[in-house]
Amino acid sequence: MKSLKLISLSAIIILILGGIPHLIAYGDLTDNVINTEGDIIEEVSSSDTVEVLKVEQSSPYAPLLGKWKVSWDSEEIKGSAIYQIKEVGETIKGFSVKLFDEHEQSMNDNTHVFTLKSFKDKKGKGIYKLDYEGEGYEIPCKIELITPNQLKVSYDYYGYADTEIWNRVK
Amino acid sequence: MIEFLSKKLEWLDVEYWFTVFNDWSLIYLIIPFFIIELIRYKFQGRLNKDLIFDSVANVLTFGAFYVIEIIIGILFATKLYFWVYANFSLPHLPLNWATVICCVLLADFAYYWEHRMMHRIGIGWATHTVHHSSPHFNMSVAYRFGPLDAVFPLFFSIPIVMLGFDPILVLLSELFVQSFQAILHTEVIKKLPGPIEFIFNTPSHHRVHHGSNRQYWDKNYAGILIIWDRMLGTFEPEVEEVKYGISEPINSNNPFTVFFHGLQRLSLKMTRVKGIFNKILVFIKPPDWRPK
Repeated sequence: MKSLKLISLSAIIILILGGIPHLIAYGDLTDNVINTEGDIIEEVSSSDTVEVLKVEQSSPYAPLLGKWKVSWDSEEIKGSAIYQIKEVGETIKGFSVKLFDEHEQSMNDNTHVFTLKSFKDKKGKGIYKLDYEGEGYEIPCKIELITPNQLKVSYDYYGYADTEIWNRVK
Repeated sequence: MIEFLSKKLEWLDVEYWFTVFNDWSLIYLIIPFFIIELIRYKFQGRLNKDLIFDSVANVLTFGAFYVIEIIIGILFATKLYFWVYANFSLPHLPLNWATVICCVLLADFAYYWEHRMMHRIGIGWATHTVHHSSPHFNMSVAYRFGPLDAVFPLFFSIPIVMLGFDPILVLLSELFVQSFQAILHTEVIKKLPGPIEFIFNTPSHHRVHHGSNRQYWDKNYAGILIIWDRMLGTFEPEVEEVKYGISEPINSNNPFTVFFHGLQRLSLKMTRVKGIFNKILVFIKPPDWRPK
C-alpha cells in the first residue's frame, strides 16, 4: 500500500478516535443547562466554561456565605488561606482573600477559587480551582456543611483525592 | 448512546476494571491456560526438555524486560508523559466512557504501528526478534520480550497523551492491549466464528504473525482489532500450517542468548557493513536490507 494512502488512512482514524471524546466532552459541557424547581439554574459560563449556579435574591445558600479558613500541611503545600464565599451577581463564588505561608506570614489575594453548582440539604457540588505545578485545574468537588462552622470539601481527580475542612472565620 | 458515552466515571472504578483485565488475567486466564497447553503437549508427545527450557527462558526474558521497563518508567517515561500532558496537550478530557473506549482503540492503533515498525526497522527487529525466535507457540511465548521492547511504545503513546488523554489511562490502555495479545499465543484454539475472525485479532491470526513461512512474514500486526491490518494492507489468513520461529533460528534456550541475540546480530551486521552512512541505515532500514 502506498505511503500516502497509509498516512491518510491513519490520520483519519486518529482524527476520528481523538475527536469523538472531545466532541462529547464539549457537547456535555454546553448541554448542561438544567432548570430545577425555580431557584437553581445551572448554565455554562461564557468566560471560562465552568458550570455556575444562579441564585435568586432569597438565597438558601446563606449558610455557605462568609469567610472560611483552610489549612494544608503536606509535602506539596504548607500554609493556609482564607476564602470568602459570596454572591456574585446571581452566582455563588469563593475567592481566596488572604494567603498564609507556613510561618504565618500573610499576603492579600483576590483569586477566584470556587464556584458552587448545587446545594441542598447541607450537601452540594462545586468546582474547585487548584494550581498544580504551574497549571490550573478545575476540579469537580463535593461539599458538606458538617456544622454551621465547618464545611467539608472533598474531591477525587484522576486518582488524586483529598478532603479539606474549611472552618468559619468570624 | 451519547448519554452513555458521556457518563462520568470514577477513576477508582476504571482503575479497578483495568486491574482485573490487565493484572489478574495472569492468574485466572494465562496460567490455567498454559497448564492446559502443557497437558495437551503431553498427550501429543510434544512435551520435551526443549519446550520446558524454552518456556523457562521466556519467563526469564520477561523478568529482564520488566526490570528495564520499571527503570525507564521511574527515571524517564512517566515524567515525560506528564510533562507532555501539562505542556503540549489538547484540553484534558474528562473521564467518561467515550474517553476510555477511544483511548483503548487509539492504544490499539498505536500498537499496530509500533509493532509494524518493530518488524520493519533494523533496531526494532533487533529487540522484537526475541519474541519471534521461539520455535514453539504457547502462552509463555507471550512473555518473551527483548531488551528494548519497553522503549518503542513511548514514541507511539506520547501522541495519544497529546490528544488530551490522561497518561495513566494511556498506560492502562496499552497494558490492556498487551494483555489481550497474551491470550492469543495458543495452538489450542483453532478458528473462531466468522464475525469474530473478521473484526478481532484471534489465535489463528496471531499464529500467522509468528509464522516463518514466507507468505506469513510481516503480516497481522494487530493487537486487539485485526481490522487495522485489513485496512492497511497487512492481513493474511491462516491457510498453510504455520512453522514458528525466525528465518535464522538461534537454536538455544540460554536466556542470555535469547535476550540479546537480536542486538548481537545487529551489531555484527553493522561491523560488516562499510561506511558510516550504511551503518546508520542498518539501524533504520528493514532487517533484510543490504547495501548495494
